[in-house]
Order: sequence, then structure tokens, then C-alpha cells
Amino acid sequence: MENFEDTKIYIYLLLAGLSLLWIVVGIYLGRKSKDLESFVLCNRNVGLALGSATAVATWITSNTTLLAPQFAIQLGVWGMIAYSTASFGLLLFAPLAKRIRLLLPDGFTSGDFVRMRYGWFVWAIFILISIFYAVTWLISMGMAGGLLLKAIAGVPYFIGMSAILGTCVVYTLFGGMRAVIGTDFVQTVVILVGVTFLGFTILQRFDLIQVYDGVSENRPALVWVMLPAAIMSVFNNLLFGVGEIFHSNVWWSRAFAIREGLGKWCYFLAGIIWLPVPIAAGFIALSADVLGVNITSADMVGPLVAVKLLGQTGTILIFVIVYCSLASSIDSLLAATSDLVANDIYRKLFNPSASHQQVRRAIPYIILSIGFTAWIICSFNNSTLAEVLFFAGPMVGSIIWPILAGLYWKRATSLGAALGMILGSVIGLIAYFQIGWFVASLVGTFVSMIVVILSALVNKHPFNWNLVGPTSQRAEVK
Amino acid sequence: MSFSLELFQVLIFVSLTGTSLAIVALITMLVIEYRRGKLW
Repeated sequence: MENFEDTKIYIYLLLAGLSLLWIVVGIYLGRKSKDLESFVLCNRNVGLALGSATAVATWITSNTTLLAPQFAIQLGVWGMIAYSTASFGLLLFAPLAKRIRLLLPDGFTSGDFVRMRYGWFVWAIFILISIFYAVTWLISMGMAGGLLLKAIAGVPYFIGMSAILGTCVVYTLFGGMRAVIGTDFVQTVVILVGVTFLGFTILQRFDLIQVYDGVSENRPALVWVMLPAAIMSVFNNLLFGVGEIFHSNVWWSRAFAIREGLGKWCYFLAGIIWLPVPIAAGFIALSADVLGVNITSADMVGPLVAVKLLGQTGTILIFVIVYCSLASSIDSLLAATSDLVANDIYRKLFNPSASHQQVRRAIPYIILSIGFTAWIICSFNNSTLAEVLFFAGPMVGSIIWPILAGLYWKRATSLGAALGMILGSVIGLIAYFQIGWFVASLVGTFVSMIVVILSALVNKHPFNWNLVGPTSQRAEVK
Repeated sequence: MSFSLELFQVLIFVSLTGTSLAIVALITMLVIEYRRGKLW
């Protein structure tokens, strides 16, 4: 992995070529996005293929392609299964996507729902957590871009980070949601082809018995059924995934953008497509022993195996997979966060009388501001900043129940939602520091659940959706 | 107690086959929706 001189020129050409490709494709696809609904939500008319692929692509981050192999090599078979449970977030969001469109036929963001259902105080807590999570995720992705392209192909951190962030900012800026969803489709196919190709290449050289024996002999714990930390990580990953998807505007904006009646199918299909990807990626790592790979650092096991298998072609393949994984998440974060800031901060707080055209004109400045802020922070290359994302686990876990109860349970209260988010976050963070990362989301979600359920049980004034907000296009809610 | 070889084989086979089928399904859906003018 350290000798990059032979491939240096190809890597730089590839970096420039991929960046240019996404910019051209993104701008071309988004060329007709002039008004707000078109730019932000594709006129609420996205079909099954693009709707499913964008959910898959956004959920496949660099973590999926690189952390899943690391999970496999550290936590074994349970580690792969644990990572794949993140797909439950997509599967469980499927019915919610349908409900969201029913309750908010004209909605733009997750903030719209929280404000209408629970009021301004809960909305403020929700927006704080949501924007904190989105920005830290964006920064962690930008930093991961710089670090990974350096580790995989020797591209200097600053160049790699700037290229990925800059590319995504440019095509999101000019193409909006259409650019994001269109490029997501291509990126999904590239990632899936890359991971599958690596898996089948391993199977072509060794049979599964050899791989299994290699793991059993060299790292027997990885095939143990009872590996407590790994089993706990299954629940933690599942809840982190569910919490992240339930609250984040990245997923809500897609629920609003997908054609009516298709939302649940898009998310269901995306969950099914995503489910085997971490296992396929993890399998690459488990073949390290039979390939005789010397694992110098667990987080680079995927690239190490690819290079051992395919030589320089492996470097290029992993480079493309990682670039696509990062770009597909960064562009979605940029689009959804700018949408959230424009509609929930600019329109609701600073300019309540703003027309759709005014909000549309504000969005490019917001995208540029978010992109520039992320770029400045990423330039410091401070690894502790990226670790901040892990603190978000209990925070997003504590939002699961307020969102779920708000969507389906008339007796859920604003006080319960607020206390659930605050207490769930605080106690979850205490568990993070006192016990470990693998229980933080679990504790945050559990505390929030208790608070939300108890407050709903004692509430005697059920909420009525039919009396709230613009109801002209909303069917009667039961 | 360890995961059996058979279970390991099933897990890997299903995941690799699943990702292959996903590629085919996505491209097929894209072509069908494009032809019907229902892409977005």
C-alpha cells in the first residue's frame, strides 16, 4: 500500500476524471431544476429505481465499504451481521415514508413535522440535534475522504479532501436534488459492482472452506457464536441506524421527493438491497488470512486485501468504490442540510413571509456556506472532530420514539418528546463514557422510550392532525 | 461454540448473490421507468 509511485499518475487522472464526471452528470441532470420544489424535491415525482438507489447510495458511506471489513476482522461473523442490521433503519422507515406523505403532503423537511406535531420548543431541540448530527457527519465524511485517499493511493490529505468536498458542492449547487439522486444511482451501481467483483474474485481463487478454515485457525474468536461485545454491537448498530434514518432530513426529504404511493416500496427495496452489502464487504476482510495479508491496521483491511488480490488494479478499484461511497453521502447531506437550514431556519425564524422563489434563491448561498465551513474545519485534520460523530449515537437514538409516537400515537405529548430527547441524550452520553460506545444508543433509546410512553399514557388530550397546518391537500387522518 | 461452516457458506453465498441481483434489479427498474417516462 505504501508504494504509490507506479500508480501516482493514474490516481491523479482518476481523481480528476471522477470529479469532472460527477460535476458534468450532476449539472446535466439538474439543468431543469429552476423552482424550489424542483430543486429541493424533484417536483415530488421520483420513481422506484432512482428512489431506491438514492437511499442505498446515501446509506453506503465510506464506513460501509471500509468499516464493515474492519468490523468483520475485529468482531467476526457477528460483526458483519451487526453492520448489516443498519439496513433495518431503511426497512422500518418504509411505512413511515407513507405516513409522512399522508400527514404532510406539502411538507419539505423533518422540521416541518416536528414543529406542527409538537410545537416550537421540541422543534428547537430537534433542529439542534439534527443540524449538529448532519454537520458532524459531513465533516467526518470530508475528513474520511482526505484520509482514505491518502491511505489508499497516496493522494495528499488536503487535495483528496478538497476534491471530494468541492466536487459535491459544485454539482449540488447547480443541480440540486436531481443531481444528487441521479449521481447516486450511478454510484450505487459502481459500489455494488466493485464489492461483488472483489467477493467473486476471492471465490475464484479459494473455496469458502479454505476461507473458513483460515479464520478458524488464525482468529477462532471471529467465528464464535457467543462474542458478547459483538452481540451488543448488533443492537447498538441497529438502533443507531434506525435513529439516524428516522430523524434526519436526508431521509425525510427523499420521502417527500418520491412519487406518492412509492415511498414505502423505495425504502423497503433499499433496505433489502443494502442488507447483504456489509456482509459481502466483510467477507473480503475474512479472506485476509487465506491470502496471507499482513494486517497492519484493521481499518485498512479491505484495501489491503484488494491490493493483494488484484495488484494496482485493486488500488484503483478500491479508490473508485471509496470515492463513490463518500460522494453519494456528502451530496445528500449537503442537499438535505441546506434544505433544512433554508426552510427551518431562514424561512421560519428570519423571514416567515419569504416566498418559494426567495427560499430558492437563498439555497445556493446556504450550500456554499455549509460546504465552505465543512472544508475549513476539515482542513485542520483533527481526528477528535470526527470522533464527535460517535457522541451523536445516543442523541439520534433518543429521537426514535418522539418521531414514531408523533407519527402514529395521538396521545404522545410535547413534554414527553422534549424530555425524551433531553434525558435520552444525557443518560445515553453518560453510558457512552461510563460503559462504552456499544451501549450508548441502546440506553438513549430506552430512556426516551420510557419517557415518551409514560407521558402519553397519562395524557388525556389526544392530538388531532385534522386541525393543524395547511390541510387542503391532506386526506383525513385517523 | 462456533458458527458452522455451512452457515458461513450460506451467509456469504446469499450476500454475494444478493448484491449481484440488486445490480440487475436496479438497472432493470431504471430502464423500465425510463421507457415509461416515469423516471422522475
